[in-house]
Amino acid sequence: MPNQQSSNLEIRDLHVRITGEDREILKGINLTVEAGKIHAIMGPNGSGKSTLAYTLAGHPRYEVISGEALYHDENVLELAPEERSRLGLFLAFQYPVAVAGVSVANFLRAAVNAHRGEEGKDPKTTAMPIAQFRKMMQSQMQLLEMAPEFQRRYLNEGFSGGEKKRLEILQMAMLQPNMAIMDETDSGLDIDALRIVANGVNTVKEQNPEMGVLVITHYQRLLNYIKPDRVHVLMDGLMVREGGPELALELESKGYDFIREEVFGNASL
Amino acid sequence: MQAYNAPQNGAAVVEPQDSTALSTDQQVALEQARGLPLPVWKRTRLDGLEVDTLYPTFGAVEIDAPVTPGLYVADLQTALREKPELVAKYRGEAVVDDKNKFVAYNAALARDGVVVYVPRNVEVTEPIRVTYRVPQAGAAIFPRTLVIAEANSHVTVIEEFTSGLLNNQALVIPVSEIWANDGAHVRFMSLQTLDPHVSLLGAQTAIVDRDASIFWMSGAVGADVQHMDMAVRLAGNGSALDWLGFTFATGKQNLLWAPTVNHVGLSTTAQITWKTAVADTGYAIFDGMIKIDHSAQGTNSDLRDHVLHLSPAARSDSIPGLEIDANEVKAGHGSTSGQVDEEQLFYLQARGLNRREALRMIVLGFFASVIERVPLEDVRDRVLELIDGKL
Ligand SMILES: Nc1ncnc2c1ncn2[C@@H]1O[C@H](COP(=O)(O)OP(=O)(O)OP(=O)(O)O)[C@@H](O)[C@H]1O
Ligand SMILES: [Mg+2]
Repeated sequence: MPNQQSSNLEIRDLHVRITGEDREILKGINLTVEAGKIHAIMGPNGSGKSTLAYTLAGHPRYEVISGEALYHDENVLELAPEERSRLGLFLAFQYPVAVAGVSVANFLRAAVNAHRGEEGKDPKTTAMPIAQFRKMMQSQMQLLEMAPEFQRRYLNEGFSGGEKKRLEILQMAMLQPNMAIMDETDSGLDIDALRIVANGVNTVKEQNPEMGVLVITHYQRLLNYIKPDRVHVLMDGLMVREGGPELALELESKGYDFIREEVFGNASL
Repeated sequence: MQAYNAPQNGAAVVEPQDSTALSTDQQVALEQARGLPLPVWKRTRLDGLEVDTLYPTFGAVEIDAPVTPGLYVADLQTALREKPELVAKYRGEAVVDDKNKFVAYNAALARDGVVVYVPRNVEVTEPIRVTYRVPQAGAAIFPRTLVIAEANSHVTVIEEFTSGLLNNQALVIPVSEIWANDGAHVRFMSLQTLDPHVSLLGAQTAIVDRDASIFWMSGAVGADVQHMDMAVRLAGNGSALDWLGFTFATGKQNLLWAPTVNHVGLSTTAQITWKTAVADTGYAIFDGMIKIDHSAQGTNSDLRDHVLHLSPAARSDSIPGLEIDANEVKAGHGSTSGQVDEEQLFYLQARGLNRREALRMIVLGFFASVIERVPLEDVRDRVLELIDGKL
């Protein structure tokens, strides 16, 4: 819901495993993503970054063992995925999903209207008028330098890696979330596309300065465009280090081993 | 595979209350129908049909036709009066009516029907709409559609088998016959939207002559049981068929389409694409066949069915067959079957759609590749609405 007051996302002692398996993937995450701030998470492959993102969005494959994620005074981990979305939480997927036969425009329209729906009200009365929707979609597509043909294509079907990522940000621009999690939105983007997508994110943020952002990335390069206030390091299911933007630069030059050594005392762990 | 049992109570399907009202020809045909055995259909549930409770009923046809110079459209009774030779020449010529008991009953008892005759070179731009409506529970209706498109003519016929809400059984035994003469182009769209108490057991046939083409759409969302045998004979050289079909079987519906395409002429082409969805304990059958005769060199033919399962108790049989007796041909056939993908559901939910809305979007998306190819916007909208109405 767009005009809600700003709110932090507070993740407290979050333990998560794959549904039906014993092994814990997240082993007690504590993290506060502040409203209006940009936080970055970096960490080696397999450390649990996507697990955290999916868990926050409510993917049924991830089972919360304990802990909570407070947002607008609610533990969002108890909500259905669509309720989290309507509360203003947005996840840009690392691997967006294709849906044949569903056009980008129809999908966006359904998503926008789902966010405008109100309990007990006829969806027809709350839906965005079609002309207003078209105008909004066209201007956001221009911002992301997407060709108009995209709106008629099927959702992510046959999209290139970079096109998929652009579409994720288009969805974010259309839904205007208050808390956006971006899982490797930079992967698969060429240099120009990276700049365009990052500009898109920054524009959405300018339109809604109270939006909190959690960027998951492997590369400092994205952080040149989307400047983080805080950088967090996730390793083996735990938040092991936090710092300012300089931490990302340090990781870029030194790799993760030095932190691993400090935290776990053994570089080969 | 569990085979269904046929009704045990003798050879009659439905009996007219007063058979003396029938013409001599009809009485002969009725005798013949009575004498035919019930078909042995493994995948069609006939044992629930309470034939003793059903009576032939007439007056079930509504026709809406544009005014076009040369075009003749009339209900069957009127056509029998006005153009008896025309009806005699074509009726029963495309469909074989002495083999299938139900078709034979239609031959004997059909009074509701439509005759469409399009003279040579006439292009009918607006569609002709024919609705066969089951008037009440207990009714058995015998619709007969005849479409005769003379050389180089164009015509579109939209046929729908429908009913209001019924509280008891009814039966529809339809037969449709279509002729596309040399160079003609016929679009035939047949929808089945019957109440789930109704059974439909029918046959539809088209004969396509030299360089003629047919666009055919077959759609079933209604009825308790449907068994529709369909045959297209690509008789003339260069004749072509583009056939789209869809089935959505929910509740305990048992819906079967059996399209057969017979390539006879040289360089004939056929593309048959079906989309089938099954939910609840629904059961849908696609029993398709392409037959390529020895004479049909240069054939290009393709037969596909795609099935989406929406519940573990729903069933489908998809049997695309191919018989080739010529050597210079391109022919393909196949079927796919899948379930709704949890990742897709989650992706849509993550954008604010609830599970129901997400599922609806995915299922409509599944049917989209067929719906989008329906040439008339109002039919497209109707099809969308029909599918949507079942979600
Ligand atoms: N669905 C799953 N089934 C089995 N194991 C999984 C599943 N999802 C994640 N895992 C495991 O959980 C761990 C964390 O995976 P996750 O995807 O969260 O890592 P990541 O930090 O996002 O990695 P990357 O940088 O490669 O994207 C890995 O060991 C991974 O194999
Ligand atoms: Mg990941």
